[in-house]
Amino acid sequence: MVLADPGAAPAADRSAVATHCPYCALQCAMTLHPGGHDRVATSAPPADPPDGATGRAGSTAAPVGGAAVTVEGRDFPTNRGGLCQKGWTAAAVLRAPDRLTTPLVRGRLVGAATPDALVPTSWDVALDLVARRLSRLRAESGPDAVAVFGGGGLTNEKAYALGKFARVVLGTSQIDYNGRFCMSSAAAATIRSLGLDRGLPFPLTDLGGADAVLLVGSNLAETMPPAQVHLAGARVRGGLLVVDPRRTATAALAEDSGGLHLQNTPGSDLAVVLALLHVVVHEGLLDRTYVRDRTSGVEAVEHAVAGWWPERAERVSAVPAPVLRDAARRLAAAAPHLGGRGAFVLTGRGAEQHAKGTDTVTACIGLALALGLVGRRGSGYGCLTGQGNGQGGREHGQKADQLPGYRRIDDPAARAHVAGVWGVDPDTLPGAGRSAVELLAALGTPGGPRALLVHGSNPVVSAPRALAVADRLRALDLLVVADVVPSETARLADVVFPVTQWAEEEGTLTTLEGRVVRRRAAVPAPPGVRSDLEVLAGLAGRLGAPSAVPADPREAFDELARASAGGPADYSGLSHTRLDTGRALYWPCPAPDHPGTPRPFLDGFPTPDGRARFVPVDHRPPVDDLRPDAPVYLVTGRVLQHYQSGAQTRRVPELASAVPGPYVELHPDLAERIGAQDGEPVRVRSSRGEVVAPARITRTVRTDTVFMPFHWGGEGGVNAVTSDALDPVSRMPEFKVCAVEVTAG
Amino acid sequence: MSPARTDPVTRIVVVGFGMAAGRLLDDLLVRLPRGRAGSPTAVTVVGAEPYGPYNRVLLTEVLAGRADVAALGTGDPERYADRGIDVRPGRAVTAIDRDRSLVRLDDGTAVPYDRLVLATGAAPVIPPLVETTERGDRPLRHLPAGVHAFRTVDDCREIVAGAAAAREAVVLGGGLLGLETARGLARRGLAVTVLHSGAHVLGRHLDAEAAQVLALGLRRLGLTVRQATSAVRVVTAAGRLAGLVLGDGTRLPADLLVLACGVRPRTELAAAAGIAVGRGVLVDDAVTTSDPRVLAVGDCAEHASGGGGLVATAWEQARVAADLLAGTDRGARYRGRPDVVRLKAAGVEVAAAGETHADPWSTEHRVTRLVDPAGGRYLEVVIADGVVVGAVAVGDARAAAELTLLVDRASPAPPDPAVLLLPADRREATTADQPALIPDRATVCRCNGVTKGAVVRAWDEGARTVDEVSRRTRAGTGCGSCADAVSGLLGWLGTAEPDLAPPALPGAAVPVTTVPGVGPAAVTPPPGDSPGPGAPEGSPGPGAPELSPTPGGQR
Repeated sequence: MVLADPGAAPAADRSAVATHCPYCALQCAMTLHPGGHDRVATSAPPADPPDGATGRAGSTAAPVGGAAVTVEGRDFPTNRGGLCQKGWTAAAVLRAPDRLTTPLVRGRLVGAATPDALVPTSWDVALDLVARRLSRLRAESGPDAVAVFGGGGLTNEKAYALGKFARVVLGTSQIDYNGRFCMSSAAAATIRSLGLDRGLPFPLTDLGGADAVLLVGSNLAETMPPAQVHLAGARVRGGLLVVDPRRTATAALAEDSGGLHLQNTPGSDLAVVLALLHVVVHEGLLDRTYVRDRTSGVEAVEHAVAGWWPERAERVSAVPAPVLRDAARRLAAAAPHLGGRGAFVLTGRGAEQHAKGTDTVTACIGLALALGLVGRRGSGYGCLTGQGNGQGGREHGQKADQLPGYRRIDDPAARAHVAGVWGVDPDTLPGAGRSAVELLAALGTPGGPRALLVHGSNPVVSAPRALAVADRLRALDLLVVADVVPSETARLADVVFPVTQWAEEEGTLTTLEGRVVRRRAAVPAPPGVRSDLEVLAGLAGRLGAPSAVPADPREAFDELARASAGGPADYSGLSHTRLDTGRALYWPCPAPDHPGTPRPFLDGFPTPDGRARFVPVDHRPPVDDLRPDAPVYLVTGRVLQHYQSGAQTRRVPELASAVPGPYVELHPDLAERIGAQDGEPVRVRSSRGEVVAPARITRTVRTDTVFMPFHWGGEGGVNAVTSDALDPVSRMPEFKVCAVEVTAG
Repeated sequence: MSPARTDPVTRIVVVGFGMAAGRLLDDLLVRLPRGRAGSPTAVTVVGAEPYGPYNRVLLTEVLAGRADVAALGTGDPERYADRGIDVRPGRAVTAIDRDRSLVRLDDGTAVPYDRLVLATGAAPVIPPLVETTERGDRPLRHLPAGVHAFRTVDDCREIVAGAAAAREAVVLGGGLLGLETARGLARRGLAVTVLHSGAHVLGRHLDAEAAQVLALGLRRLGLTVRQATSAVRVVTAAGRLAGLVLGDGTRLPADLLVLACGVRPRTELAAAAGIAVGRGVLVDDAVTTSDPRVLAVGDCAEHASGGGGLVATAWEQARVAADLLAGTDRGARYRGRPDVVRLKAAGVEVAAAGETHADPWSTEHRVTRLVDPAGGRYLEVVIADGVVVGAVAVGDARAAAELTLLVDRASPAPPDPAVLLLPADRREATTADQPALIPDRATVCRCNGVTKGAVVRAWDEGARTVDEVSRRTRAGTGCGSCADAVSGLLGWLGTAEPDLAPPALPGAAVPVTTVPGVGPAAVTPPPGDSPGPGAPEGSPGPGAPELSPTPGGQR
């Protein structure tokens, strides 16, 4: 493997490969040394978790056969060579003991002796079987009888191919992806207000120069730890402001550096932000010139926030009114028009995963607009994308209402362009389908899809109201899952395709800042494993597709680039070859000689009149709010050591031993009231289901709130309890707050 | 929910265009079908003020310089007109003719109704010390110069203008409005005296002890607070206010007087039309008056639960009225909610919610108090049947926020209510910066889950620099912000005697959550783990001052 990235690895190490971490959207740069090189660690994972961080820098996969890989941090603007514990130990996933290396099929489908077990089979048998059954279901019930579910961790090439496969090969409208659970609220709000959804419309390093950073519902210190380095400037100046119901690692960063932690009640972020905007309006802190020249609609927002004076917001959010005023003033003082060095408003899932998530983000954007931050160098609004390719995953057509290039599927011009690239009649393309939660709820119901193909997702663990999701999957005529390991969802499948991962494949991902980066293969995939692209191409060939699905990632990217040309997320000036030069390239990049667009809003907004729009919104309580038989809020989130549904990280011994299972964080007062003991089981029950997990008693949570991490399924799988109430605009489920009863034992 | 197309148009007339009416219209607009020809509902709103609805609650904030009078509006009259509402600002209703189902306007016209909503609000009480024949509900145009009622945005503008030229202000009335006004005037640089005829300020919401703590706080901010003091007469000179004569005959000079003596619901229209009135227009849970076709919301209405004069009450009643009028929820009812008041005055944090006059010695309630006059604090929580039913917080914003919420939600009380009085104390402890006192399982490097114990082990294995520790443990290989903490630990290890192995750890199966700090070796102990197992027996917790590492004791 020849390296194209300059300075990516020691020159002497010819086999070293420059790539990026398999996990979150920060996409920390790393160098992989196949074969273990000279830094192979020998020690086993720590035997004594709390004290036993005995892993080595540059740890490697345990020698369980096959080639080992050693991970090394690589200098890069976002991670500056740093990696978190997940990144350092990522190599272990390559050698997961239960790695899938052969297609599996439910015994009864091939006449095996064990009809209910998943039994190994050949690729030809598995692909033929799936193609045959998909054809039959389509013939019986029409193209929408087959649905597709994708993921925000898939490469751009895979996301593109999955969308094309659904629209062209299957002809189904029924495709959506787990990014609906992540990015959809911020996406809907930014498109509504700014005309474009690019998570961070500026390089992450811009944060470093700001006087203030307001984080609403983001625990960045735990979810993407190396990014903390970019908060250092704001911290030094006492300008880190964090809105979170928990005193998270990030909230502590703020308080410990003289910033502010606004510890609000769950589901009240919108009231908090409206109060901040109220103070900005009423204390005359608006950037009047910016508002006049670059925005529209401020009057309606002024009316809307007139009713959210700090004392009223305090009554809803429990954030003391003086703290709300202080926060608003600090943020305003950092704004350029008042002489500050810059300010940022950033949102995370904590603010977005609500039935009012779109409106909460809209208010955050309104706050940033009022202070003249958006589209100004050194300031801005941004959404901190979560999944590895959460940004690219929402641009290339795996969303129910979308075609490649972030085009709308109901836009005739967009349909004509994409159909032209695909060589099909635009009229043959289906329209918009169901969004993720609605799609999962319709599976196996009369009129709903009868088959589902899952790539890069584990909805049995990650979807809200997960027990009902598992029931829907069982009701299908055919469930096909492509995965690396036997995830909880794969275990329910009729057919499982073993696919490549991360260090075994080529492709691109688009980071949280809209920069397109290369993923490169460092080691060959285990024998018997194919890429998702090959799986889709193989099925397309068998199904007699009118347009081929490219099996080669480089070709897939080139086709994606053509399909995106002229769309909001224009990749047409990009290619693997150009990206291999190592240049920082941000979309839109509409021509091979275009430098890319690190800050898309500097000269205007892609709205019809070029102005950003203030949109008035109002607070309302959670859909599933407290009541006498459910007097406690449940919030969910992440821990540093695990990623998403945990399918990867739970298989890394060092991570699994550090945080072996789910737990329930509760305040000592609540623990005392219900008689819970630290480490003893606690039962959390909502109107949808219940979970049991050990108590972890801590003062970091509010007395009216319990917290559970969501990386596990089974008895402690918190998504059995979470709410599937949807945001009316984005169709985002309300993961982040519901009412529960908490009991000991 | 939408009525059948054969239904006749329902004509709704709203009298008044203040906060309650504005909210009612907003709520109606989201409930009624939009933009459809032949919409089954026609809404007319008649308001005496020439403006659209604005946020009256913020007028004292305008006075305090914390709100912009130009941004008080909650909705443009044009916006309502654009949405199909017949808006008649600057028009007064002179009579309700229930027989003919119409209201008469001061321009001689009449507007017929099927359903009538009274949102006429309240008028300020003008005490008899002011010699005027224009007392009561008519516009107060004839108060002496320098004397102001405080109800409308026009009043507010006049007070702001008057304050610019005044030096000595008196606020008559020590209720919420009076105290907020006094604080606002003081922020404008005036010498301010609050005259309160009752035994103590905020008497409707606070008992004597809480009020004394509040009065002390006000005095510390430079205000003069005179309780149990009445004024009998204003003194004028050349038609301008010169001072007041008090009940004891003494004279108090003043060049600005703001009357904050409470309000009286405007009930005249209803009473004249034969609708039942008490103090306000009497309404049931369906915010309906004695005439089933007439509703009343906001300050003009009187509900059995009390709670008049608060915006939360008005908005809740408006929502119920909107649901009933639009037919979106025919079961909507207003059942009253605990009175919650929150003083808006910089430097004076006061909240009172629900039951605030409970007798601590009664058997019905459990009353727990923290009285700290020197610290400017008074905190009280009232519990009945295991539920938080009342709370008072003076001088503590966080307690004010949390206690109010507990009453609002009728939250279950903890076994010891005293813990509710110190919410700040119930949050995570602050970081420790004494390496000796950090428990071994406290995390030093969050990015890589490296504990103090692991750093100590690396030292034992020979690591002497941050880089060497990093190579062995990965500490500092994420965001890098723990380098100072590691350096601090190494410095401590270099001075401590390395003769004891780390002690065994209780509760080791529970993973550690910790917090990186800022300063050197700033590390947070794991939750619920005060001095940490590494600390010697009997040693104080992490917050202990100036405790040097004990040789051999902390490893």
